[in-house]
Amino acid sequence: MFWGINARPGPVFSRVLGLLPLVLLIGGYFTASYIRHVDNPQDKLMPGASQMYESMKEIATVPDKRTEQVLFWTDTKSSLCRLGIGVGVSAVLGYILGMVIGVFPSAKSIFTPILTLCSNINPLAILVIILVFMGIGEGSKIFLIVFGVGIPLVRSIQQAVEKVPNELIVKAQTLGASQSQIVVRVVSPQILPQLIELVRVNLGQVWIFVIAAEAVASTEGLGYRIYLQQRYMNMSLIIPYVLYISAIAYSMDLVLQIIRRKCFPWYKPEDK
Amino acid sequence: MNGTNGVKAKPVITGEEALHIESAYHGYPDTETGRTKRVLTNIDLLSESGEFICLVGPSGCGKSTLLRLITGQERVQQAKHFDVFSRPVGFPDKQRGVVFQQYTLLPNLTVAKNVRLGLEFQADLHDLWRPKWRREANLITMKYLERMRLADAANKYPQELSGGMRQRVAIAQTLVTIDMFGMPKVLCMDEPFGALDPGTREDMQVLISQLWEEHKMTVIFVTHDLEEAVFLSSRLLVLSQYWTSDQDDGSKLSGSRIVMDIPLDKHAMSTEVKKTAEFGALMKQVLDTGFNPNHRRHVAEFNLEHPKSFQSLSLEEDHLNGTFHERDIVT
Repeated sequence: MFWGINARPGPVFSRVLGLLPLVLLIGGYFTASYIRHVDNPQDKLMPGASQMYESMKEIATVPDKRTEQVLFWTDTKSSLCRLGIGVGVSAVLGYILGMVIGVFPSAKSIFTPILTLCSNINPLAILVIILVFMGIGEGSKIFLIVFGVGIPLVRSIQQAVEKVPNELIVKAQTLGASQSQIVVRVVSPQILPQLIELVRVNLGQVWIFVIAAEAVASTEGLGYRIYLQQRYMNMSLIIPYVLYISAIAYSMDLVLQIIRRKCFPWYKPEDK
Repeated sequence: MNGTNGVKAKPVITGEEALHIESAYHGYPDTETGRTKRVLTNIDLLSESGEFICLVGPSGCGKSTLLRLITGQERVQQAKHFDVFSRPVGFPDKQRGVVFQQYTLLPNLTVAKNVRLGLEFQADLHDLWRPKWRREANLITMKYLERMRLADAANKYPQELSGGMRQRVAIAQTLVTIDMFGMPKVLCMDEPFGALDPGTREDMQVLISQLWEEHKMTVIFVTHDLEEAVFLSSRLLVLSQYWTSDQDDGSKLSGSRIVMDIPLDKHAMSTEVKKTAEFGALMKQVLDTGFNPNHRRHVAEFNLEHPKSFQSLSLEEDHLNGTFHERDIVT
């Protein structure tokens, strides 16, 4: 009845099934936390909800003694700035370069080998090289994101452009379109929703690079804060920060989905 | 009147021809042998403007290849002449409109905007913002939408349309520039109704016939459906790999030739005509001539009734020139 290939759980039952693991996980954590605190009220390894709340309240409202800024907000701002600029540069690069490579065969000949080379280099493996050459400023962090995400984006956009049926290009030419008109009016508008979709899918990668760069060389940022607090084993701050990052990532994903649906109602991803 | 110029002599070139193809050869590299596998052999075709040419033939005969050579999607490998309106064929341009079986609508534009596209591509850049030009473009677009019975669908996206409607949009897209720019002069169609159900297909056949009469344009129409071809064409071309000659018994599969080229009495008519006896007889004749691998016609026995048809010497015959005198003329 409930199991097997032929099971058809109803909507409510489905919901219940889905909540089960979540309840077990969260409930299990807080039970364990409670048991540890009975033994040792000072326990830092598994903080309870009130400890987390206190830590977050302090970092989100009390200005730092040294910088006189509220750390939670400066962390958020600098991480989002890095992420935003990195994603923006990657998207523009991917869109323009991917389009040029996809449309013009000679450009494909020029760029394919170097793109293949670069996309096979692990961005985190050359993080040190980037830091040595570009310093520990914002430039190197953004470069890491562009290297790690922009290059795959170029290739994905190129593939999307190559999927535009050749008949459509021929048709446009017979309607009198020039080469630039084909790029600007025929190909690029069709690819735009796919760019948004690709950015959305790649956001997870971007977050990895942001956190990694901040962990290695930074003075502020969500990732930096987590790695800093690790020294004090300050789980009551680390856990809410992780949840906070996840919440931002999730809402970005939602926003991009909504943008794609609202701005490109004609785009049907399952057709592609 | 034979002798030097092949089996059937070439008519006088007036310079008014829509197509002038002479001794055209085309093939593709064979991946197994590494040699060129010939698809088209010694194609000769003269066409006046205003003809509705249907190109039929057994599958694999290269009829779509010939059309791609005419549209400029592929370059012919060897030819004495391959001219469209007296100029050697180039890459696809506004002179030759195309309608494919599918995939020619922009998914991100509504039907009306898809149809307008050609006007915007061909307009001067500064015209695009002039209210007068925009009004005129709108009027023309509406005219074609109404003509193609698409007025109600003007603001829909292509994905929301049925197959027949999409093809009507594709045709409107191609024809819309005629009023303003006089282009295209030739309409090339490759199996345009191949993906439609039979009822829609007949509707489209009648519609395209009417459009041809209204615009008096040259149409080159490739189809595998013999009935459709006989119904539509004012000139029927049969391209076939099933032929023989003194030099080649056809077993070497040395590419297709035009084995039949006949004029047909053509005017927009009801599809009822398909049920008449003459229609059936003609279809049988075409089947016998070009579609039967066991009955290959000799090069000298091709049915080239059309006054503009001719045959040039093949490459092999050119080499053997002088020994080819005994063949009789078909006129």
